[in-house]
Amino acid sequence: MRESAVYILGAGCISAVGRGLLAHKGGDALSDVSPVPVPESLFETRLSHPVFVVQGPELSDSAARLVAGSSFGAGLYRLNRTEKFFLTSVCEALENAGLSPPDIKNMRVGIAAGTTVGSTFTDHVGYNAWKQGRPINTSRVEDYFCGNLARLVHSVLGTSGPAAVIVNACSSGTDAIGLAAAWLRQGLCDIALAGGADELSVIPYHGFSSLQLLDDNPCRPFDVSRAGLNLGEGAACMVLARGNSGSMRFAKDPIGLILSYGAASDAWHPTAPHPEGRGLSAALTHALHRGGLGISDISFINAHGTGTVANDLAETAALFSLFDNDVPPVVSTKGATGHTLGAAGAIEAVLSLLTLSEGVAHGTRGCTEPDPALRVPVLKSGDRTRLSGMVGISQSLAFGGGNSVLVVEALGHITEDPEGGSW
Amino acid sequence: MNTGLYLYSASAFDGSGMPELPGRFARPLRRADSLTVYSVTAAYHCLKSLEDAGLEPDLKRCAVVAGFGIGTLETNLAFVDSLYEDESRAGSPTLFSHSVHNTVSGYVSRLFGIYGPAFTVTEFEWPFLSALFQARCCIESGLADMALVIGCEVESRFMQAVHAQFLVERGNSCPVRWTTGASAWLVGVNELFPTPAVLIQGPELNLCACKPDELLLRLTESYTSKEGGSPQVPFGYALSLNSTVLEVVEGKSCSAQWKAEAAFGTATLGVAMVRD
Repeated sequence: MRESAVYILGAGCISAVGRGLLAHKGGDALSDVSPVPVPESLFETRLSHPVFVVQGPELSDSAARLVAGSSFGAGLYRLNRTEKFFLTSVCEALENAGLSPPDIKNMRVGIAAGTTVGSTFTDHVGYNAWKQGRPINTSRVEDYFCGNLARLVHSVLGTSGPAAVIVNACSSGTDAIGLAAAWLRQGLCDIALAGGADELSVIPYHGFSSLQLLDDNPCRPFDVSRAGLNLGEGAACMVLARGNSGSMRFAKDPIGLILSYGAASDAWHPTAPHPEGRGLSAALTHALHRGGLGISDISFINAHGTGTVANDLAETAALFSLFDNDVPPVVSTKGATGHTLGAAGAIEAVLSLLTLSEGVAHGTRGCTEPDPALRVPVLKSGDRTRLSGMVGISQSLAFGGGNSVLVVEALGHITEDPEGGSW
Repeated sequence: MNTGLYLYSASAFDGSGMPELPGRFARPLRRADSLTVYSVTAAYHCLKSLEDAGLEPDLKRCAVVAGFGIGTLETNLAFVDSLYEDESRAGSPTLFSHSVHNTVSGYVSRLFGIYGPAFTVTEFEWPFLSALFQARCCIESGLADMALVIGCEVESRFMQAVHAQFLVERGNSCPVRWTTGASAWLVGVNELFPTPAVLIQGPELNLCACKPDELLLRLTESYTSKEGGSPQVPFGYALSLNSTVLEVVEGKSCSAQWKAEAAFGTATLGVAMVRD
């Protein structure tokens, strides 16, 4: 046990790919899902960009039981889909760690949640009614004021400790995990629940469309014919603890490590990345330096890989600036999950961990002919490559010019827990 | 956190006292919303006071950490307007790109050449203090050498109406007029400049669950300092805190303990002059 390291004790994940960590494991899992037209149950639209939708109930049984036993169970306030997804991933992460809410009740629990839609006011019907002179539906405003994801988790679990909702657009989930790791290293909490969540919503759907960044077909990250991204939804959460923490004795064996985190800004453009990936290059450099790692330590890179022309070029330019021609296998998982915005960094960190634990990288769904303009090679659909080690990178880029990098290590094969089950 | 954090420079103002921005900012801010303009203005004056003193902080290793409550709500609603008022229902790309909370940190990074990490946090309680807490964490963990901490709340016609309706439903018909406020602090853990510096202890934040109307109406909020900001106004706490800092800087007291209390928790921050 490395005392100063930040261990991943458990993880949870829900996306269009499936429900639960193991549903996201392996190349078959990521190749068995396709985007669909926006379901009318979510919102009405005249646009035809397909989206990746979570199937089935948003709230798991475990999460539903916890909510029922909390102040939210009285039905005074309504949970939105983002909140339900996040609670579901939190509960799964705790279960996979072998922890129950009573186990952590007396600990200082840090909760860092990344989101975009989850922090916004979404009662547009009520807003439009108010504009036409009708009274405001204050119960929906109360839902908005109750919508702090991190505080919601504290409330449902009955825990206390540092709490932050990170709204760094598309890097929010990555930054939430990086920030939580920093809290642990500074002794601000004994254990941390960190991740991200977002739901499909009318504003980003139409907003990305207005920026002409959405594809009308299934997205094709890194492909020469790529034409934009598909939006998705979901959540992921990791349970983190320091090696010297007392909280480790309650949990099962850790499944991985957060070795390092780095972040830097492009200082370039409100929505477009720096063409040479300036900020990402700096974030990668910082992350490796802070972790005492060299480029030869990295066996795998899960890129942001949205499928927009600008992102994929900038991202691979940054990788080339650091790795030159020795870049490890590079993939994007957004061809399977869609771009889940504030959840993306967390979902992709979990997918990276699963890939590293399996030791095999699977090619990018949707990419059949990699763009020759990309500065580094990427794995295309159908490719399989055995990895040389268990340390990899999950990276995110964001509106506003933010760039964030997590370096994660798998500590063995992640399999179904024979004693698994919900509390 | 018990160790100190140096406050190198600070700026703060409410909507009625917004200082000017040089003309060179007009073009890059021509599409910006009011949250961004106020925040950039606070950041500019925070950095300019150092420049006026002949000091040039190395912003390459500086973080931008922003904290907002209502934040970009008005821009979000303006995008919704553009969506429903536009026959094609495409919406305005400009409004959408400004509808995320971290738009501000993007502008600040770009306009002032700040290349470090950018974090934006959101909460309704005391987001400027939460941003300060995360800035400190960011610096102490080695992610940056210093941080430009920004807080801002702008007037929202919709939230003002909600506020009034909440009050009426509770039998109180004297709504507080919301005003805009912004603040920016440049902080670090080392004495980077050979000038008088302010050491701050904290912030200590103890937040607790409360009814949602407490977060909107803030009827239970109070501060130790009566100067600067008014309770029940979303950014009042930050203006009050700045007023306390100014008292120490101006030598009216050598140290001060600022405290805020409300149904949603307590916040404390110690302020002391370290050299004069």
